[in-house]
Amino acid sequence: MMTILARLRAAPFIACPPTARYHLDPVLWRDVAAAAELVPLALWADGGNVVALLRGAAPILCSVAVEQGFYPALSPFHPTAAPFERMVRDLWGYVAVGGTDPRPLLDFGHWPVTAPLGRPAAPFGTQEPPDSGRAHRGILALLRGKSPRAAARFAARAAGEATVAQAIAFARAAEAASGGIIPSRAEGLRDLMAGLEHLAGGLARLAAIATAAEAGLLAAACARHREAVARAAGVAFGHRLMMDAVVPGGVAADIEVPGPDALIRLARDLPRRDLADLAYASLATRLAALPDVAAACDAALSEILTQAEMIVPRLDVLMPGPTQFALDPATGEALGTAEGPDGAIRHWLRLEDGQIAGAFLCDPGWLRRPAAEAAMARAAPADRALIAAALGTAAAGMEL
Amino acid sequence: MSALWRTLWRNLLRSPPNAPAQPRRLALLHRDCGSCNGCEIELRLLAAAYDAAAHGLVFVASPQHADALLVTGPVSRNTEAALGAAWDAMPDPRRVVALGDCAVDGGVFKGSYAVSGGAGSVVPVDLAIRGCPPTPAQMLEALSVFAKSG
Ligand code: SF4
Repeated sequence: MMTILARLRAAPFIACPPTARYHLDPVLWRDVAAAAELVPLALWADGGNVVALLRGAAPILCSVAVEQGFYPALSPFHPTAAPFERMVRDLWGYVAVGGTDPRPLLDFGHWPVTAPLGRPAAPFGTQEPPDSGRAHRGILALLRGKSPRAAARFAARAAGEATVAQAIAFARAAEAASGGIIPSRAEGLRDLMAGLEHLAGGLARLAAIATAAEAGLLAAACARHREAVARAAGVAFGHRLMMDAVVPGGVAADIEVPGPDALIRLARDLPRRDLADLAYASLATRLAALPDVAAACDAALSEILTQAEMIVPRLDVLMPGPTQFALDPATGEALGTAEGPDGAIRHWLRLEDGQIAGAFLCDPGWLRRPAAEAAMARAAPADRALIAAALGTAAAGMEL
Repeated sequence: MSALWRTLWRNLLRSPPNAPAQPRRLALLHRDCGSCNGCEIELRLLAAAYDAAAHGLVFVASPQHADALLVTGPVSRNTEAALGAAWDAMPDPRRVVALGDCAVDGGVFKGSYAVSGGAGSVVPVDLAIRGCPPTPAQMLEALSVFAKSG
């Protein structure tokens, strides 16, 4: 008998660099859904199909045609698919048959339209949003019909704490779909910016943990260093959060003249051991009882130390040369991935003559949020704020 | 002079002659109305790294204790009702600050089906602070002037 992967790979496919999208019939789709090893990382819809990104040895894309507004659900086999199915229902109007959670996620009857990206559906009727949907801004609809260059500013604003990583994932998808390779200097500048964002993210995470644990000295130290990172980034790239500094085809502008010096000074002045010592001294008693929080704290500290060490080497490897190229107006689809402060960000784009015809921006919040909620549900009420600070993510990235 | 008299004296003359002027206190109620979190990052730094409290800027959690409503984000349709409710629960005199391009007029999200297009579409805005996001220094300057004008 053929393995599920072999059957999947025998299905018709179209190129989607760096992978391919296999188009499955409903029977095979259901068998793939039932395969425990193929965990869905994301699910969205596009032009009458529902598309799933599955975790395999390498990520695998597959799609199934939507029939009369319905498609077979993945959530009975993989609970992480449930929020995606709710989002697909709200944005495209496609219903997952057999889905485990029929509640809305984003559409609570306050929009002037239903299923803004797909086929009009029966409205739910106005309800008060419980605890989701507040950050839904309609980003996917805003991307449509624009060139990647014009659309990049929406992708960069999917999640402010990861604006560089979001912009890199988006740019990589656009570049792969257009068949272009960015100049090496642009790649180096992106690495530098992404590193600064990770550094800022580590400091922000540690500050949140410190604030929740009422460790005022540590919180203040993190804020001071976070501010220093923002200032140096502002000097080097013209924006404290480096928003819009990465564009499809490269980077918006080269590093400005005092920038390298500002970054070298930042790397020199960032404390290494001091901060770790202060963190463990201030948090020790709380961390002992909460392994999840301790792990998040370790991860934040190691991120801060690593990224601070990497600033100068990243400056040193920058080669002179161009910082961007013009994308060809291509037709095709691709996946772009970048590591953000909270995990992998995956953007999928389908271009028609250089314009965005379909898109999905998958934030790590989709996978992190359920884990954080489960940890909070298990925890004692007095520990919940600390766990939220250690494991939580902002809603904006996933709510789009 | 007894402690009571000292207190009365201080209350009568808020800033005694030759003493540095105390900044006017402004209690801010922050409402995130669909922000990308960029404005919040800078707002957190305003509070933690710019000594906002020394400039009279304090953040409160309840509408009852707020002098001004500080709105971030383009006011997504899903937050309109909650924003209106926060405003309704604030005692007079009350004011509104729109913080960041999104809150000022919807910013890049202007025209989307999912946003109402800024704080002004739900509550009367007294101060608009532009920027995407505005820097903490810009926030501090605008809010300090605003506090004094109250
Ligand atoms: S103004 Fe800019 S930074 Fe602020 S919420 Fe809007 S997009 Fe984000």
